[in-house]
Amino acid sequence: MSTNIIPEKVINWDTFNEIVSMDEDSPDFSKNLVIQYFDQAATTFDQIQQELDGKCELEQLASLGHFLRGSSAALGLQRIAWACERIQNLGRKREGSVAGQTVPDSHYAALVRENLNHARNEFQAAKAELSTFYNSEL
Amino acid sequence: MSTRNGIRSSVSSPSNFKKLTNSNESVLKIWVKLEASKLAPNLTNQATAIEYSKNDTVDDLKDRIFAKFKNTRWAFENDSFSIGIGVLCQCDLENSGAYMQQQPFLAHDTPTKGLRLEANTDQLLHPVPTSSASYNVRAPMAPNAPKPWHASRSCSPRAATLDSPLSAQGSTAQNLVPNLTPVAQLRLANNHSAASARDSCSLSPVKRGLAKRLSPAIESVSASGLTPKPDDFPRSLPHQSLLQPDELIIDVCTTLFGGTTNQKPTDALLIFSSSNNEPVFNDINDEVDQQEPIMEDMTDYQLIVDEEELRKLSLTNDEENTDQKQAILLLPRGYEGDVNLPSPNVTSPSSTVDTHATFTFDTQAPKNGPLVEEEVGLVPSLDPVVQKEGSPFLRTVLETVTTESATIDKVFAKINILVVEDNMINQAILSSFLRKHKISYKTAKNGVEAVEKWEEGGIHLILMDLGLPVLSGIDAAKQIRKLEKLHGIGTQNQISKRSQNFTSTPDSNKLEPRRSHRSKAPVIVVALTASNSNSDKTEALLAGCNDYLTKPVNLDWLARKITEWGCMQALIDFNDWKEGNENVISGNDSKSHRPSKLSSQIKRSSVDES
Repeated sequence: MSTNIIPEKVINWDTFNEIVSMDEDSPDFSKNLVIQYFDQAATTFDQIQQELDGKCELEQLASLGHFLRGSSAALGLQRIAWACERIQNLGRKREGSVAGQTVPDSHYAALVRENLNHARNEFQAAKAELSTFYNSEL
Repeated sequence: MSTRNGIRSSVSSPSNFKKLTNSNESVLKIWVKLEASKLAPNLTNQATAIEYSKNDTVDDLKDRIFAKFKNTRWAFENDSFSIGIGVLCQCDLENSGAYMQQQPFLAHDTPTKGLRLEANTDQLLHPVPTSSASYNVRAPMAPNAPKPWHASRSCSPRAATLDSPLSAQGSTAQNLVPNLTPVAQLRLANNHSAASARDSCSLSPVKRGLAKRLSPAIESVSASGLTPKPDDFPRSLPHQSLLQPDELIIDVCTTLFGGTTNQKPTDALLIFSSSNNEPVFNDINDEVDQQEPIMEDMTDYQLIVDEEELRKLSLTNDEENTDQKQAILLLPRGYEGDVNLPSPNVTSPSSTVDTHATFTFDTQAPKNGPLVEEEVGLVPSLDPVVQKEGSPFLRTVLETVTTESATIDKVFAKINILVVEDNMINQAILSSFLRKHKISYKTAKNGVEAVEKWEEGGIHLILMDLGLPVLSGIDAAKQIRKLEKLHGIGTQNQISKRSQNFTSTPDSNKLEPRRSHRSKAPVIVVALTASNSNSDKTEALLAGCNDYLTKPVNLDWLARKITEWGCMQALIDFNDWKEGNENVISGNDSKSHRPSKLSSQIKRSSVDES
């Protein structure tokens, strides 16, 4: 599956520039959006973390993954989106299963945890890159 | 077509072409170029090689040309019905023919190679006697056409060339190559005039002037030799000879160039742009005239005097009818007078209408003048008194019109879109995009809210995220379709029980109790799918979505979808679309309208729900 290959670049500039182009009409639109996104992402990461540490409901993890994936992709932050997609699919047990075995939910949860860390790293990378772009610490 | 797409890439430089044809005989290519007089400024008029397969017809070639030029202005301005492929034929080719007959060896290395080839292949052409007759060649010559080869070429109105002393030489030319090829036999059988038109005239693609420029040597030889002076052929202008759309390209190549690999870039077939591609010989000047836009005729507009008719019309107004424009003239309910069309000034016996001059077409428009886009529909009266005296219903309409006078604007701008997105980031992006394009929209955060907002009415298009909390987009779409069915939306049974609830609400129109702001046409649901997986898309379509976009949404694409579906909606249900406009206007009037009013409407809808 092609979706299992993580995109090379942190930011898909084609997508991101579409957002930036809307600054024409409302200045700082994209920057504010990015700031809003980073808030949202941080919150969502925490929620995923809480879910993992708490009830660990896979369905909930999947929907959180889906949620963040949507906004990440919309901004062109494709590596975060990729990690979120993994979380989503793991939560739905669509991937990460072992052939011929029934694996416990904890198996998926562990993989989600892995991908959460991955997503956090990508988050930092994206933040750094966009801070450079806007020439200010985000 | 998909298999053809694969081989559409083609070679653009002559050297490449040569290399390819030499190395790979199976790749068939044909050189084409735009006719010089129709040249778009951003295209260089270089011959281009178009690949084709051996079963391709001229029509297929057109498709390939458009595929190749697809991003050019030329391609936007033309379509396959407005172009013709053919050659410029001058009917005094006796020059060349005679010349070539004299010095065939010389011709070999000149750009007029095509001509030489035709001298060989000419046999193929003249066995079609009808051509002579169809193109005003002197009748007595027609029976002889199979013999003197330039009889068949005399496709210009001027038949006198036939009388030139060259006819004898022409006959000798014929004797050089006496054998008929299978193509020629085919032609013989296929005797309709169009094909013969081509036959009679499909000579060298080398324009006369071009030939002159490229090979002055030839000209001088011709002039000093046996050929008549150009003055002798004052009317033998180059004219278009178009190929029949169903002609096989491979046959064309064989006929014109003596083989599929013999064509040179300088012999390129010409692409004629014209609104008229009938296989007639257009003088180039004539053709320019034909490019003039055709004035729209008033008779294309239909008068609709009551709602029932309008509804009927909107139901039948499907995609196929869109090219026939329907002007909709709004008259008060119950109005029974007759209105005289196509006079731009609508005179009516009813005094109520008289006071509302707004129901006439712009009186300043010249009589029988062409309708311009913004005149379709309502044109507001300039007289403020008239506006004031109008009924409340009229006034809203007038306001609509005065604010947005151009219909074309409204089609894009005045549809109401419901954005259903749980993620604020995505919602912000979509909202910002819609604001930028001045499209009115509402937002919903989950499926339940989406259904509620839709129930409020006036929504034409829903952009529905599928992964929604509370109620998924799929379920929301299903529910909306179910409710539509229940209310008879999109069917003949228009009156919904629910609309009664709306009459009591302040923003519903008291004059029009039967009209709720609910859409009478099914809403368009465009699913926003996060994944590219087909199962998601199928599920979305099965749930009743009309279309889908894959996230992240490409905004250019979104714009196109909105235009597409928005126009469709406006056509399907003009009434509702117009009402939507009223909503938009009232929304614009009060800046604080959206949050406060909407929340109250949500509450109301929730009550309705239960």
